Amino acid sequence: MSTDRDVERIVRSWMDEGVTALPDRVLDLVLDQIPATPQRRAAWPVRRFPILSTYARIGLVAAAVILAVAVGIGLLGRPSEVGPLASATPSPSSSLSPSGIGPSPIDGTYQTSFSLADLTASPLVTANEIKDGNWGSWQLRFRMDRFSYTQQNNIANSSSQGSFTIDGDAITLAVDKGVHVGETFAFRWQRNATELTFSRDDTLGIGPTPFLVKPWLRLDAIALAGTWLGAEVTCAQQIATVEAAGFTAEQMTASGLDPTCANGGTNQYGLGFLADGTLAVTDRGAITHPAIYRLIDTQSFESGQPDGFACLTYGYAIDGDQLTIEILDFGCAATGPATLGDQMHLTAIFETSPFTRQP
Amino acid sequence: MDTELVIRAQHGDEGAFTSLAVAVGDRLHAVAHRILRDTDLAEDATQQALLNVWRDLPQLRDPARFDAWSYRLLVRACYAEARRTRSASNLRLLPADEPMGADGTSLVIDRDQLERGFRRLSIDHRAVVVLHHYLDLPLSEVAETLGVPEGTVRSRLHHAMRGLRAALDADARPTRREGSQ
Repeated sequence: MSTDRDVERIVRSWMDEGVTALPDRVLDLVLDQIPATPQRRAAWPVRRFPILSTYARIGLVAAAVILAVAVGIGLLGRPSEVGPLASATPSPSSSLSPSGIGPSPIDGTYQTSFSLADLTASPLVTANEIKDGNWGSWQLRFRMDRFSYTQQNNIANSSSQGSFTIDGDAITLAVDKGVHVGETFAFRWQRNATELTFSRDDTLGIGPTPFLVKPWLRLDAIALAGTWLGAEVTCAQQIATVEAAGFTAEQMTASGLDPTCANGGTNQYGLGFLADGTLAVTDRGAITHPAIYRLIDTQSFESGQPDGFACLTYGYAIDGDQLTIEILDFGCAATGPATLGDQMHLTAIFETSPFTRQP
Repeated sequence: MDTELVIRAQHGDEGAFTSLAVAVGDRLHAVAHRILRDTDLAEDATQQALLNVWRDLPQLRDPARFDAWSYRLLVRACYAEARRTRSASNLRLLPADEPMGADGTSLVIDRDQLERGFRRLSIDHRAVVVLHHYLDLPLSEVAETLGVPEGTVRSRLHHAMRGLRAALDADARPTRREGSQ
């Protein structure tokens, strides 16, 4: 029986063996490509805030790591005018207030998405709120006595977090980190089986319009939520799917795919749409890569790696316990096209077989 | 890392980037090889990571964090390479070694048992082991590099080391065939 220290010593010794030098031909290949490879200039400061994180676990897999995105600047302006009050029918039990020692009635993860045109058209918006940090895809999370939210579009990203209190149908958000640090927002709120809705009540305090433009969808209640398992698919079936999507054999070869399927093999993909915005993509129960998803509407979503890589736009349809997914765009609004290799791999994963809901 | 070089490369100085690539290429490749356990895949991952370093350098906010940032891009490239081996294509599966007899030296057995145990780990777990035990990064820096919480890193490291320990201990026990005969 090895002790922990033995194992660590053996592992370290083993790690010290083996390849270290990068062959010159590889370095030359890189340097040859540099003149033709443009650098990506950030249109806004990025990675200003640390990535927020949480854990996720689904039935198909032992464990999955999840990442929530939080970067950028963007500013919510304070409304300077009183907007019309929306009716608020309180759904939470009154006088519940998060104490930090138990769940609150609003706990959960929510998403909404609206364009700059939607923001501008809102009867609640004020001129100083019409800015790029105030529209796009939003994710809002409440847990215990803490909240966080992120905003993303192709121009600006932002995030904030803080503590909140609930008094009946009134909620107050005190931001203590992020772009709106030091600010306090207050709304009336109501939640039904699928949506969370905020409304402005100036007697409570400032209620920025971006929270009000559209209802927030409950990720635990969307039709996609849960785990789905595809059929076992052969290499040849996947290659046929990739070809049907318009990719050529030359493109496959250049991206490391073998259109001849010389090695054969099969895969069985699974999808876990978790209530915190994580998408766990699995193959035979093993995570292939960590991903997040953002709902666009009730028929489409964007999904990619937490840092924006491999992001594609998908359409979906659910018929009974069957989920069919098609790729609508080989990229996402905020990050542009994915690499050719990712486009083809993800086509094979998502489009070769429909998925069946798992209990 | 020379932050002046990083800053110059951020502003498009190809000569500065060449110096950077030469300086970090070996280290990145060594890490990639230890994560992927495959020379071809490691070369591909390192090549892609270096290209991504060049492409995304202007977005690196703190040049002093270049090393951690470059490791992050490398691990991401390793994910992509590993995904190609086991996702859509089934083209280049990482070879699974056949069990070997117990007649080698202890060191050889340890090495082969470790190799098998390590290949059973996910890329997530391998990356943590390599960054911590090969690069000697503290867990907090591993967490920052991978963009996950430190608790996640601890959990992955625990799981990985438990798996490697089981692989090593398995060699000390008789095989089923030996036991049944």
